[in-house]
Amino acid sequence: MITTDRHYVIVPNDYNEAGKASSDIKRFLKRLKLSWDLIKRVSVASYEAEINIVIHSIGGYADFKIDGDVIYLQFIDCGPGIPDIELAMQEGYSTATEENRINGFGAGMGLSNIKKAVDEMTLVSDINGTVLKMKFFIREEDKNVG
Amino acid sequence: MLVNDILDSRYQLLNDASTRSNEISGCYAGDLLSVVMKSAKTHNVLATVIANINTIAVAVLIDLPGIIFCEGNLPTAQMIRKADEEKIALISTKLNSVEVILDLSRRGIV
Repeated sequence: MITTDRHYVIVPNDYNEAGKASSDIKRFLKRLKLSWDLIKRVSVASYEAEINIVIHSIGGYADFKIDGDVIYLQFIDCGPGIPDIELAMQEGYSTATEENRINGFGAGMGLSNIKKAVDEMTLVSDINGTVLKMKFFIREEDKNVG
Repeated sequence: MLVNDILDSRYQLLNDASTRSNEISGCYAGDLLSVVMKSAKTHNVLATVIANINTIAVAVLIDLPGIIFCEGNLPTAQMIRKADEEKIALISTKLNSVEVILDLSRRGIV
């Protein structure tokens, strides 16, 4: 049985460090020889969540856990929260700044990319912060492929 | 096809020469990284104007073998180091992304 439990700190507005957690998660999954489809889904969801914290929050954390045949990702930030989750889930809606756009962000695709990538997710937010939990199931066809 | 097939007087490789042998299959052009992540396929070479470290991060995550920085945009030394570590080819051109795609298509590369 595969198990791991890793914790990452995500620094706000630090574009140079953005993506480090996701890269580490991807490297770990690649070593497990999981299918590319699964690795890509986890990597994309993880990167989008990580970038959201870098761009929009005052900082946060990520946890990556594998327990048996389930991959768990949890991204927590300390605010200021998403005022309207339904609106934020819509493709193209973005509150990103001009600086974010210069860095290639602000497409308004982050949460919708996450939604498409995950098997299950919950998103809870208020002014004190946002908690995004994601689950990915490792199916038989995802094993010993890569 | 290989990264090396792209290179000519208009396309300059900016990092480690070993990336010339990276295999490519198709091209994707885009500047919004979330859209690139959604739509680019593994082994696509990416044509973009976004020359920052996040472009490399996206290429690493979705296994892109090379990035063509269009319209004369150039990567930083930090980006070149990261791309060398990750074995991703960095190419610069004065052409814009549409001209790149038309050119690669005309030459039978994509």
